[in-house]
Amino acid sequence: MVMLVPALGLVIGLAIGLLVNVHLSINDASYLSVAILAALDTVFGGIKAVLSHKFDPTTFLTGFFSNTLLAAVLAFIGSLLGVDLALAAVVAFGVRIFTNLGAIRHILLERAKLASHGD
Amino acid sequence: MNRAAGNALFAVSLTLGVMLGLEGHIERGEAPAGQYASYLETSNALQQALAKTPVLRGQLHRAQALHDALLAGSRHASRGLADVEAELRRLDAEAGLTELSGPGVIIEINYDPALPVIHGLRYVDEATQLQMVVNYLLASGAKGIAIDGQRLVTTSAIRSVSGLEQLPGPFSGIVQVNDVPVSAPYSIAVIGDVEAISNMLDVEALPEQFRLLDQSFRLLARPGADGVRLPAYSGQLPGQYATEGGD
Repeated sequence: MVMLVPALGLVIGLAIGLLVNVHLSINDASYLSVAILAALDTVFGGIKAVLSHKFDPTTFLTGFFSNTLLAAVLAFIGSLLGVDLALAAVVAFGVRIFTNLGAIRHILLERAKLASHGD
Repeated sequence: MNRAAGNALFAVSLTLGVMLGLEGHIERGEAPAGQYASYLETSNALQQALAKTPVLRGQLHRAQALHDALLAGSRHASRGLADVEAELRRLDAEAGLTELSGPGVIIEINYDPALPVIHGLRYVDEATQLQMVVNYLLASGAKGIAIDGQRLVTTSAIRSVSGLEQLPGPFSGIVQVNDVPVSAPYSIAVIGDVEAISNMLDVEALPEQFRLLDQSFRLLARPGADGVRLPAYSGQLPGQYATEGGD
């Protein structure tokens, strides 16, 4: 049940996104890509918080939307200034994603180790 | 997991799903010519175009020069030869190497026995006098000048060829034009604007100047289309004796 809620949300969201009749040019791709990266960063941060028993729904929700919006705005401003700020966002979120992934891996390994010792 | 956490997860996953779904709508094909995905791509394309422009312009100039050279070469046998011959004729006429006829004046300068000899007049350099007249004529726009049948060209010289000790009288008497001896009475044939030449000589008071030196100065206007005929220059030209080196 715990995994069903986000999976269900993802499926519904994908269906909405694919079925909605909008035309997005290649110009919008960089903004959307950076926003998705920021969202993924927040998701991995949320998973880490859940595993660490530090999950706060408000922090998670506000972090998700603020990071996503800020990343898109940063990419847009960068295109106006002639500086590829989207690249900076990609690097920053990429590092955070791998850091969170590493933390998640460590927590899961610790749990697996504890479980094996318990047997 | 409490209800708030479930709602948050659902909202986030839903939003993420929407964004991923929207990604499918983006046309990621090749951008059409003249359209760029971002300001950066446009700026880079513009900078590249600016950098290429001088290079392309130089290539265009070289191609144009090559085209002109090839075109001139293709005309060498027919049209090109005619062009060169026409240019040669024009240059010959300008250099005084061809006969010239047209409206103009004839100036006659001679010793005038009717005029009283000026007391104390020892020497008059006739070459200098003739050169002075020629200078005024050129200044008035003369197209061609000949002195006693000797056509004046850019290399012509008007010289007195005797020393002061050999002078028979007050006049030098021995003048060379184009290395050919000429003597009084001098006849200067000029082609040009008759009115301009006459006015110039009047303003400079040349008849009066010559009269002071016991010489007559007569101006005969020949305004007809064939009023004055000048012979072609027949003297030596610079470099005429040059020959190719060899054994």
